[in-house]
Amino acid sequence: MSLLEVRDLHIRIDGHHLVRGVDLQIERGECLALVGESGSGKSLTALSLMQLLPRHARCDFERWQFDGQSLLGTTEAQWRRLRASRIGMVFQNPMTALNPTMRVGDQIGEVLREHSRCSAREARRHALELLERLGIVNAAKRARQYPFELSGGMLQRAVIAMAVACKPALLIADEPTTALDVTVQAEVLALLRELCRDQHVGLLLITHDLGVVEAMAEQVAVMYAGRIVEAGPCQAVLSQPAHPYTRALQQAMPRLDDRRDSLLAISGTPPDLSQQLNGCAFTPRCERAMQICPVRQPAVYAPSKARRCECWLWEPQAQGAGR
Amino acid sequence: MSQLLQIDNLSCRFGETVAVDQVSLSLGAGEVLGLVGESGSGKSTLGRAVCGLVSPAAGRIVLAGEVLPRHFSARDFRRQAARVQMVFQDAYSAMNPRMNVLNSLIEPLQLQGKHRGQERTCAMQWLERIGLPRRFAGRYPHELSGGQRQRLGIARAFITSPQLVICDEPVSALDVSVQAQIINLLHELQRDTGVAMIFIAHDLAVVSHLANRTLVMYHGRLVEEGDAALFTSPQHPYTQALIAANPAAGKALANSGSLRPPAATGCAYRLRCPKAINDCGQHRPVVEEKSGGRRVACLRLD
Repeated sequence: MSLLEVRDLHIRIDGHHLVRGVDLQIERGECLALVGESGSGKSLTALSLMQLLPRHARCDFERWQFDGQSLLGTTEAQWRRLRASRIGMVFQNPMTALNPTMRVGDQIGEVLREHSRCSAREARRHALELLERLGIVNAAKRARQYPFELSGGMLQRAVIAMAVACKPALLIADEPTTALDVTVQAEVLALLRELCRDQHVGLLLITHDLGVVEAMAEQVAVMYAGRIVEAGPCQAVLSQPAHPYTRALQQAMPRLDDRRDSLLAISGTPPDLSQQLNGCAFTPRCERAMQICPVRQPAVYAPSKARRCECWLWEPQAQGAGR
Repeated sequence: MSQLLQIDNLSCRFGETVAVDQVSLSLGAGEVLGLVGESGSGKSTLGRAVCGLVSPAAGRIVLAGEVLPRHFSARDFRRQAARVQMVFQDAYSAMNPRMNVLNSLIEPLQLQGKHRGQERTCAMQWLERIGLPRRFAGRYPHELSGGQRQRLGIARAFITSPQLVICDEPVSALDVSVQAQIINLLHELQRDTGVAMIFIAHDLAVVSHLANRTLVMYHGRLVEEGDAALFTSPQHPYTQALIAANPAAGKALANSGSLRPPAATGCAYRLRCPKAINDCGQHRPVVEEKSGGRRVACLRLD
């Protein structure tokens, strides 16, 4: 049984249909990377899994199983107990995720006190242990400091400490390293990886960097304009992308080991989601678009075992069109 | 290639903080120099010093045979703007929100008295050159997407035909697909106009695409400089760590000890360096010239 299973998630805000039928599945101890450009709906998806969407957003699930039970119909009071204790979250910008007027150690302790009813002293001790485990030198001094006194890498470690303090079963990390230097990024990613494996935590990693995906994830889901256009085991998907969008993303990414003269940019911009979309949303930017593409939403195909891809090119009749 | 820019032992300070620490470099006309390093390494300050936006504490900058004054007067700024332009990371805050696309392009021409009487035509030509439709001329910055805004930022820098363009993280705020468009645009414009460029970025892969030569900075100091070979055979342990930190398949994520602060004496990198020995704490390593135009500041080279 999977740790998390979501089927047919829709999110609408002010009449804009921003997430249009997303399926996700995460196993214990595994990392699922959700990749896509800004505006593709990946952050909204993450927020909906914590029920942290803005109040005027409407979100519908067909199925939402977490750790053996359905989360449909969970009340806000129940959610307050679930958040942080069962599902933890790491945000992109640690500076805005932390309270600027509260000492770092106290913020980590607060999470513990809220969820495990331990004494202030125990919470402080545990917070210190966490910071030390995350590689912070001189943790006792750092715990007494305020967020502005810490570097970005240290702050993100503090946020991770808060997210994992209550040993959640699922960790959602929304672009956790985008604001960090590459060297710091590598260290923070390694920490997340280790936490997942050691504590058997499921990790939903949201990123736009395919390099990060390659280094971290077992499974990958590629999102475009509110839909998951391709999903499957990371290695298979990235070595042989089945969807033209996945391939285009890969070719647009500059790489150290392959310095071509010019990068293959994806022309155009993602679609305007305030409009009704009929066919495949990627059609206007797709080099392989066919007549049917702008008209009908593609069916879901299985290019190989455990993979899925939403593209008409996989229709047996389209084989001649040359995938 | 004739020399365009020469920097000798440049230092910049903000109060007690030494942002740039005795850096020397040279740049030929039409050359693209990459500048990489972690945040706080002084790469942006170095770029700003060349524009005159930061006053150096020591050292000198020679541009086209002329030594730049330490403190710029209004006249110096105007002269410098005709020769050196900048492209910023956040194109939105680099623009006047109340000026439309066309006027944003005409303004630099008017300020420098270039293409007099032809400003409008020239601006429209540039609009096309950067790949924005003509109908965008009347739009305002907030009506443009991030990629379109950066295109406009680039056009504003190139439109007055400067000799040197300094790009400070021009693509770090953009999505991969748009980032590739902008990198290609910069590459094309550089090739067509033959302008010299200093390209500042923290993403090594992006820099390796554009730069002929790359300079790696740590804690305000130059640690290594080299051509494309820098990325395949880095010699300084810090450059090696930067390259190892780039995430990729089948590679263990490296720990380079980024939480350890720069050392106050000797080599600034020694507290993070796996090769450090006692001597590294005694003297600051000098920048040595190696074969193939490589320059490295490290005591522990094989």
